Amino acid sequence: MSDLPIGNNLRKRRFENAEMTQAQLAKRVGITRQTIVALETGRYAPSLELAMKLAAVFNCSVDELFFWKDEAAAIAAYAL
Amino acid sequence: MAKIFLFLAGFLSLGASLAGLGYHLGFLTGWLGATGLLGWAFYIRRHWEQVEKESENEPSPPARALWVQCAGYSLLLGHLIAALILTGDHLRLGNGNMLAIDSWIMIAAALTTSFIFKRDKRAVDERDIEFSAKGVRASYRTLILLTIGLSFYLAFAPPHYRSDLTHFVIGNILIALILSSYLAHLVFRLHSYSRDKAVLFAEEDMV
Repeated sequence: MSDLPIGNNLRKRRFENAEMTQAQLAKRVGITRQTIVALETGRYAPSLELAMKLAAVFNCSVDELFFWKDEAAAIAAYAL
Repeated sequence: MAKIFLFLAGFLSLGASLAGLGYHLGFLTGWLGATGLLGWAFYIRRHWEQVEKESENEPSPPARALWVQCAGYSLLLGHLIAALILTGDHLRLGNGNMLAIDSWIMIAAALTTSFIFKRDKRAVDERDIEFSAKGVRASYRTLILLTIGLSFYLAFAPPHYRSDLTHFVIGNILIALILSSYLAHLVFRLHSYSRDKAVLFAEEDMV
């Protein structure tokens, strides 16, 4: 599996939204389907703009869609 | 990576063979190369569209454009290298001049194929930013290495080895070096896409 520290709920959100396909989601935010596949399989972390577009599609905030896999470690590493 | 190198070697050999054929038989083989390149581009576009419909296993649009550019530029590079070896400074004379015309015909074909695969600017593959950066680094390194190699050759090779290197030939060699470095860019970008796809398949197998 990917060693990216950021996970996401994209697949779950798609299925909750009338089982939207990867191609439909990709078209809506103007990216390729392969980028959605890479995001869902945790091989790629999106740009902030793309993350915000995706959050807008599902009418949620960015941190409802993307999250630290190990939040405690992230806070320990980066918090002031 | 092996698949990409085989692909590259195939088109380099085709370009070199066309130059050899044109030089020895005395006719414009550039039309053959151009027709072959355009035919292949149309075929592969249809093939990928079919794969997209059937299995959604098609390359990403930027990767498709890279494969086509790789074919066009390696064909041109193979042709140019063979033309320089065969004719040297006589690239502008007789059969050599025909090879120069062939090059221009194939350049036109390569540009046309890139229009066939013109990317939809509305659909961005964000991974391409990272992949492209890797390709650019590889390209710069290749160009620097090749230029240093050529400089040393021009400076230190025995005079009788350098006697055929007129400004015209050196100019064409520099074009070949630029083409080579651009091919390195394409190869490394394609390799990044292939590796990403391989990781995906490996994960699917594990699931």
